[in-house]
Amino acid sequence: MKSVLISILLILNFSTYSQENSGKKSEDTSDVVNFENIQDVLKNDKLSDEVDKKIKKKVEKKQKIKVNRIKKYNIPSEYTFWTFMSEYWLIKNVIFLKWDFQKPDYGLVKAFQEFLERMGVYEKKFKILLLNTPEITHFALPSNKDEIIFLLSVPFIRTLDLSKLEIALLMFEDYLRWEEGYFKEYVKFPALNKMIGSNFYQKKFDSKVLKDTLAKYDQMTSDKGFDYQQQFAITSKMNKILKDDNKLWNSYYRMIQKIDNLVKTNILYQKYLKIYPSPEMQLNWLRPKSDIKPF
Amino acid sequence: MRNLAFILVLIFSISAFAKDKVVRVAYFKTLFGHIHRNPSKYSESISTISCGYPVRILKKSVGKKKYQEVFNKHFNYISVGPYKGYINKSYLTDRKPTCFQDRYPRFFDHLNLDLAEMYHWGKLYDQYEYGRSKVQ
Repeated sequence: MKSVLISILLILNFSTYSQENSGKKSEDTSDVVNFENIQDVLKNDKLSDEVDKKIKKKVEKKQKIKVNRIKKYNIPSEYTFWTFMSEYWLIKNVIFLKWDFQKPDYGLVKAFQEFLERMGVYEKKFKILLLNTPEITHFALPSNKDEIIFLLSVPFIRTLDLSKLEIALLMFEDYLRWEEGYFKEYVKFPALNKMIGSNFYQKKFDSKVLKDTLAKYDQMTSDKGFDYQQQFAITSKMNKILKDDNKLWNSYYRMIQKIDNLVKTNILYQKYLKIYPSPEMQLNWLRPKSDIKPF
Repeated sequence: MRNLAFILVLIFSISAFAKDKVVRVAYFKTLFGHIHRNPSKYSESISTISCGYPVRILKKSVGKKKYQEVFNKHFNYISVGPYKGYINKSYLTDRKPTCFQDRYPRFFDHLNLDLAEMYHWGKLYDQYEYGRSKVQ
């Protein structure tokens, strides 16, 4: 009997032990197997797609933030750089250029607007800035394609006693120079070309390039000016445009005569010849001749 | 008592008289600009503001429940923060503009403009004479 009891107990123990062991095994295997089973369920429920979408969105958001951060380091492109740069130069030279002063309305906007329309130049925006100094007489500064910035010295037009038509002709000459891009071409240099429209994210901003650009503006307006070849090209162009209209052509010729007299007699304007060489030559080029040769 | 009531009415009417009416909100669209004391570009500058700044266009109170909106065909009467003054109409826009400072913020920071330069930049826009040739 005793032995029967012992054997029953042994059997029971063994069975519970084997059950425990087999339970552990099944738990272990269920951990691995369940995952695979769940994946099928997830696929059917499209939950994995949702997870993928969320991850994609997160990555896209991160990329967008990065792109926006990089964009902040953009440098203006050719299309927006030049008006900004010219105005920056005007701000930096306010004391020298003396443009912040009170003046009457000379009616120049209307006169020039009408002149442009008469010449067939439409839809051109322009800004005129009058200067209270004889240092810089007249210029069209580099600007964005859709607008022009004109500088005009009040002492210069007063000394010459120019009529509105003559002023419009002077400005139109500057407009042609602006169209040819002479000023801009002079100001441009390799480092500036490289900088325009670039991005300096995680790079050092080279502020020397801006300083050098301002210096180029100074040189162009006060020292270098335009060369004989450029002057010949512009004068010839003016001649071509105006020769159909005697009144306009004579006004242009008379205006250059006035400037020629001024630069020969008034010491204040002797520098003019350096910037616009030379009114005397312009008169020669304009006089009707059969054997005019360019430089 | 009667005197007191009279004084109260007087104070009330004065405060009503001084209150201007907001017509709409507009945004400043040039790089920098000035709020002028009077409707003239040469008038004293009360404050300098930069592009994108919201301004309230006002109707000026000219009597009890009477307002006057147009003072000058080129200028709007506006308020910005504590300041009230005049600003050139052509510098305002109804929608928030895309400003140069916002498009190129780090480049603009590197210019290190000081207050005097910002002031002059605003003045420059006042000093320009604007024109445009049109198709006839």
